[in-house]
Amino acid sequence: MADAAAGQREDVDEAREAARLVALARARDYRAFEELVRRYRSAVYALALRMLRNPGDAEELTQETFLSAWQNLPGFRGDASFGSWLHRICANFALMRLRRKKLEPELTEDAVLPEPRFDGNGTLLSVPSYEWARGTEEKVLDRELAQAIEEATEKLTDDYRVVFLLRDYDGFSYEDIASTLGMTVPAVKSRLHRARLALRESIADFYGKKPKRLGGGRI
Amino acid sequence: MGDKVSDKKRCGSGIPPWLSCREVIAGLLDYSDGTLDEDRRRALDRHFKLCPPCREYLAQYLALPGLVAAALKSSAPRGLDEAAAERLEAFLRGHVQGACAADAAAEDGHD
Repeated sequence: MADAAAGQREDVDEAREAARLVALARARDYRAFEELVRRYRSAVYALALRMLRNPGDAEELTQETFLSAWQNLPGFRGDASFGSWLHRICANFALMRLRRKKLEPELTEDAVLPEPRFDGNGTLLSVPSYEWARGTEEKVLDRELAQAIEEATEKLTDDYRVVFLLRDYDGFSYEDIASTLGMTVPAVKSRLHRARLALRESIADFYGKKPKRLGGGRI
Repeated sequence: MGDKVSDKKRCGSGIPPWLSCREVIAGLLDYSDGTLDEDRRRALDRHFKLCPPCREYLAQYLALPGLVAAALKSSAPRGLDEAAAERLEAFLRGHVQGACAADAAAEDGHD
């Protein structure tokens, strides 16, 4: 209880300090901006790496993101937190890079995503029960499962992976994702749904292939 | 559940009393967001009561984002290494100082 209260106080202090630094940086105090860079660079880099999957590209994207932030800080109104604002800049630049990549002929756009299987009447074929569907957060993830999930996420095509990560990992709203990616909200929701179905199928396949090696994964 | 929906079974609201599993799975995102209209939500609830595979699928669908986030966090990089952090600082200083020098020169020109 006391730990939680102390943690909350730290969060508030942290937010106040960040707001103070943002105000100074908006007034063109470069030292304050450098401190902001130090605080947020790891989070921005992690997002860039999740999006682009290449450390060199992610480093470049991190540089572009902070340069753009410095250039646009005077117009930052503070409607969102500075961290969310940085994430949006980073996601935007990532998407531009991914779109440029798509122009390269060797990349295929319409990969088929795995989906649930139905019979001719639209009836769901058997769905095994998995322990992970109950109270995941309290369990330590099996390393093999974590790796399988990471691989399954990477197999999603960019359009689906980016939407999935922005929503289910970074917690953006549908509206924010739609405006960041230049899509409609229904299109965002459709991609998110298909990405979730595909990931669920991949996890089920993983258990289907290795049921005995994972203690208690399958009930 | 497997009941094929026929037009005869459709109720007055236009929502079939027996949705197929395919229709239920298609509605999971809005169901989990709580954005389905009341009739549709009830139809899905009714289906879940009678259809163990869809009930199980729903549990997995709801748990999936947390599971994936936990998996990705467990393998997330710690952040920029020291050398990359230094390159970032140098990159920003170079661009910002260059821009400041250009601004100053432009102001001098106006003077």
